[in-house]
Amino acid sequence: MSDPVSPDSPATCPKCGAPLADSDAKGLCHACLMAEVMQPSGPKARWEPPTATDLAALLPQYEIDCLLGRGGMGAVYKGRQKSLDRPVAVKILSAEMEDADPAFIERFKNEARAMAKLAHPGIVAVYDSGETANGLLFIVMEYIEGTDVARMIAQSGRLHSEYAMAITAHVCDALAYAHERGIIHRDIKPANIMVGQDGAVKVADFGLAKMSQSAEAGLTRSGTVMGTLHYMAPEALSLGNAVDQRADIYAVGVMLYQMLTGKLPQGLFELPSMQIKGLDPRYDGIIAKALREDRDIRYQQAVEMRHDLDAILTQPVVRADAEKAPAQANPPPRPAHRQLYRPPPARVIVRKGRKSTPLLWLAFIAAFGVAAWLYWKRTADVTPAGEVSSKPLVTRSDSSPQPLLPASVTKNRPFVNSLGMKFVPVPGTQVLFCIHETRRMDYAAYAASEAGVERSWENQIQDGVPVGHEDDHPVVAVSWNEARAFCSWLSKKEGRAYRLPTDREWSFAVGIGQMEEGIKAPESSSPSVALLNVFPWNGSYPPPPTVGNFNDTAHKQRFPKAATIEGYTDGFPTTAPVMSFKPNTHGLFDLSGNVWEWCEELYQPSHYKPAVPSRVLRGGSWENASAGRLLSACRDHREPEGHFNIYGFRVVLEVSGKDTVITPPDAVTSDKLRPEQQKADAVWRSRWSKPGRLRLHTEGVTSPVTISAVEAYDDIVSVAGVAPGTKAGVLARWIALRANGELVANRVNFSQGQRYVGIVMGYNGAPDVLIREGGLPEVRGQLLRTAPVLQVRAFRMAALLELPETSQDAEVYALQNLDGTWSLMGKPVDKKLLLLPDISSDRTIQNITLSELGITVVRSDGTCRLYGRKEVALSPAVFSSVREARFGKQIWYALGTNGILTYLKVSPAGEPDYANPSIYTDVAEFFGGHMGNYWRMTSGLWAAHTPDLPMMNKLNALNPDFFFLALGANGDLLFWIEPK
Amino acid sequence: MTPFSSSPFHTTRWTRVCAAKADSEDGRRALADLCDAYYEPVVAFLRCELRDTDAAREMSHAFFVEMLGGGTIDHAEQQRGRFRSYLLGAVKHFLFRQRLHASRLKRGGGVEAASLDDEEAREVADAAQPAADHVFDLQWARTLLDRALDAQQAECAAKGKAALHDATKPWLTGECEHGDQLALAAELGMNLNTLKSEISRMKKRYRELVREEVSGTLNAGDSIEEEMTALFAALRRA
Repeated sequence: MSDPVSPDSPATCPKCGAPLADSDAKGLCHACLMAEVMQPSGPKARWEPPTATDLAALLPQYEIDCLLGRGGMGAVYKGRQKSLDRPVAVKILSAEMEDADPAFIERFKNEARAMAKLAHPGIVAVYDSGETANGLLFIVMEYIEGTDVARMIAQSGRLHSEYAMAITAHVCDALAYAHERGIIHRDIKPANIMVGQDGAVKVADFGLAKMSQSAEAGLTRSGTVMGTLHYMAPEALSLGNAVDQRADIYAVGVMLYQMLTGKLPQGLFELPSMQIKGLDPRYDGIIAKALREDRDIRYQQAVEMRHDLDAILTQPVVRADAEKAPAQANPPPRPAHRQLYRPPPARVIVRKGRKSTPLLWLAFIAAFGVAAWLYWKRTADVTPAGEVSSKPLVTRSDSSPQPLLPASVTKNRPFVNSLGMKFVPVPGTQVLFCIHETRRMDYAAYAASEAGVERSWENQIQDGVPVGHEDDHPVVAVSWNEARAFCSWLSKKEGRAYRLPTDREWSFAVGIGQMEEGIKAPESSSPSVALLNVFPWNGSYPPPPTVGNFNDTAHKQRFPKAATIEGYTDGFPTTAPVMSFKPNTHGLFDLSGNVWEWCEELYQPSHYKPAVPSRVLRGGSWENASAGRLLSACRDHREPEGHFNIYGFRVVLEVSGKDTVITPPDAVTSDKLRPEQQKADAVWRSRWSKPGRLRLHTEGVTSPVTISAVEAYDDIVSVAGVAPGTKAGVLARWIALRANGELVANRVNFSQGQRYVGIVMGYNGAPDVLIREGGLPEVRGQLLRTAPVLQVRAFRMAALLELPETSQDAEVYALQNLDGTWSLMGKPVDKKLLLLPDISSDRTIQNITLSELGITVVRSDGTCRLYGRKEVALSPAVFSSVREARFGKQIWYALGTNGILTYLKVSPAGEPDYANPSIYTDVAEFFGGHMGNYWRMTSGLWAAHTPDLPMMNKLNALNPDFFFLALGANGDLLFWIEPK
Repeated sequence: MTPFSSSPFHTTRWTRVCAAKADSEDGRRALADLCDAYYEPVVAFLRCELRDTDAAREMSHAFFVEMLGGGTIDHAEQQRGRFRSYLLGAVKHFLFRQRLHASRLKRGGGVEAASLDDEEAREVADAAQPAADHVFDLQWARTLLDRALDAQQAECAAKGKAALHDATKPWLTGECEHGDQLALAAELGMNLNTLKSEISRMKKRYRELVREEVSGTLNAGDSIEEEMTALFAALRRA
């Protein structure tokens, strides 16, 4: 009748919201068509549930008020348990299901018993179950006065993110509880999530999906055996019974997406933050992880998902276009008959700056109750940068030091005290260091509140030039005694334990802690030989510009007789405001220069006895210029009562008892750093840190491709999927590394405070390896090992080891150590599944490639050997590098030589078979695309592994030295990086 | 879109193909019917692999010629599995052989400009999946559902109910806001309840047609539900 692609056919499916492809010529969404065929919705004509009166007659202990509703499985009634006078819901299973299988009843009873064992505030409680006289199976449950999430969505279209968050968090808790007890829900969907009038969120129908199977009937009963199709995890669709708790997690992900956007996540679905203005982009990552097709890389436990949700809750991101929270203007329409949440409690803290914080608190409190609020309150004590922490709402006694939650204090989330001083952890120590030297204003606060504080610090002048004269300059001319007095005062004021750092702690702060292991410091003002060239700025002397406040040209202008660092200008003749220069890796400022800093200890070297007892000072000052005085290991010493305008101090904070601070992961703690290690250190640095900035843009693509705005990245790998111009977006998987060390995937920053310096693409489905600062390899959030790497390759050798395709046990990593040798890691290596010689001390290995055939080792003499199930020598050809390509199930080695690129096909028996050689200039870099594999040649041209795929003429002009080409999965040019 | 088969609609049977004796006319005809019906998935797969619509159509044609030219039925093993898997396997082998042949000629030389304009090739899925296979299954599912819909349309047209079918087919995707049923009923000249029962009947019939179509591609003893589940999974990942 009408034209197949009529102009008024909808662009999206009204049911699931997915965009209709052009090929849906009839204007119907195929997925929904199929779903409807498999699980028809709408009333089942065949079965008539009993009336309330009839049922009441069958269940004498209960009054049955009315039929509440009918579903695929049966009907639900509202009733009252006479004996206990409490409201109940009675669910009966439709008669036709029971007939088929006598064993079914037994299974039903077992499941009901298992459900009854679940006692959790987030799970609808089961009170009773059984069989009526006429053979109807029934379950008696807690009655929830309220609504369910399906109705909420139907009514409002979508839910406000805070409701969605609260509901999802509750569901995760309930699932965590049930999973722990071995019970999987299997049919998580909005209709099964009840929301009570009092705001309680409860999961209903646990175990029912499993309960209603009948073995003989197999998969024939629509709506009974399977969960609701749209919420079923992929493995549930293909494996049926053999699912685990991760299938529930998938369903939660679907539900969360649906609550936030009102649509079902279909295919390449649009990320929620791109659809909802102002939505926290972290939801994208959470949903993406819950909806992973491969359940091995999904959240493995409900608590993990809950944890990530908490992160959004406790660290709100303020967005300019943020949605208003429900308590403010334009609340989302509420279900007509009920109010869902309690009004917030009377007393709230109003914080400066972040407007959305108290509102989130309100929703949180309202949703979770006061008990949960107290927990969260403790976390919130660690306020983000820029705020001054106000007095806590709950009064605590000031006598005992307040513990800090370990995970919450890191370099990027410092602890801020009552004076606004920020503290960060320093690996190797058990204290938090103030990131700056104690300021004049900090000390002034102390002097103002205590009587009799000595006042030398107030008016220090050197040859007419003031020193330490501004509020944000370090305080000077305080004695060691006075510095300690400040710490005591501050400790008492806050109920915490402040003090001066020990000399050893200070060494760790400046980065030489491990190098001094075994040295009895403070041994001498001249450090040991190993430390003779180590400076706090991680370079050599003289310091590069803007490293710190030293004796510079500005100083020399005022003090012409002073020795200065040649050609160095910091602009400050005496003290400088703290934090004017770059911090070190731990986030500490002015460790070098500005003022010397008092430490706890007496200065007592073995070879030299000072005339008067003196205390140690570290760090150099605005007056120092010589290399010897600026060494990291240099100690000064002075009598503790002296006041000098080059001396100040820095404060540390002890953390009490078992709340030890967790070492931030970007520090290397287990390797002893020896001087030669430092050189190797420099090697990995140059390997992983790429200079310059690269740009992304879409020039050259004839059809518009929507990519994010031009940004600067250092690296980009792992591109799959593309956002076609007209559609708003797809779940495209790409990861990019920013110049500042952040990792971005699909425009969501998922670095979580960790800085990265590189990405290594995982081949064949193996996970990408992220390289943290320090050259440390990380996979799935965990360090592969704690020693830095020069190179790493990641591969899944499933077929070779006859393991399932996605098995993590099949992952093998080849890591090149700083000394050039290689190490292999992974279960197959541990279990010696691969035939390998001992390569640990072999310094001739140039490269290692992992593949389905095994491990190919290329040595500096040009030989190449394959170690797999059996050893195969690939000589006599001479190779300089090996790369692997895949075409379907065939494996082709593309071997680069000095001039010859050979396709090597390896037959199933493992015997190499040289195909026709061709001449290319070199194999320079290699990508795995998803349609094929490509490599770039030094001539700038690109070639594909299968020769009939055309070379990309348009790339001729690229300067081969600057590239990271991101290729679309089908080989189309998505964006490339142009030279800086 | 798959051109509607010129023969009156009947479900072709893979079981017939499998049961047929080597080189029999019956088997060959049955296979031809099936291939005719499921031509689009093969094109979709090849388009994905070759990134060129024209090349894909050409190669599909060549593939079917070879497959139907005889001999294919003989040297397929006894256990052929369901038709969908069989066809995918066959086209993959065909493609590989083509490429092998071509590679002997074109290595290291000829340069062709890459086509960046191929719209269809642009829709891609997650790199983790073997996408060409997925594209095949996806198109298979769509083709199957469309065929059933076409069949139903033909049935309704034969009974003079073409307009009804066209107007009510949105409800085949389930209960949802598809428009005002009351107004539609009035437009079609029936009362609301009649409309509702017609819709219900349509849905039931469509369900039957889909199941018939699915079973036509399976061996005896294969589970229809299992195949539908697999196709749904492909559609959902679309």
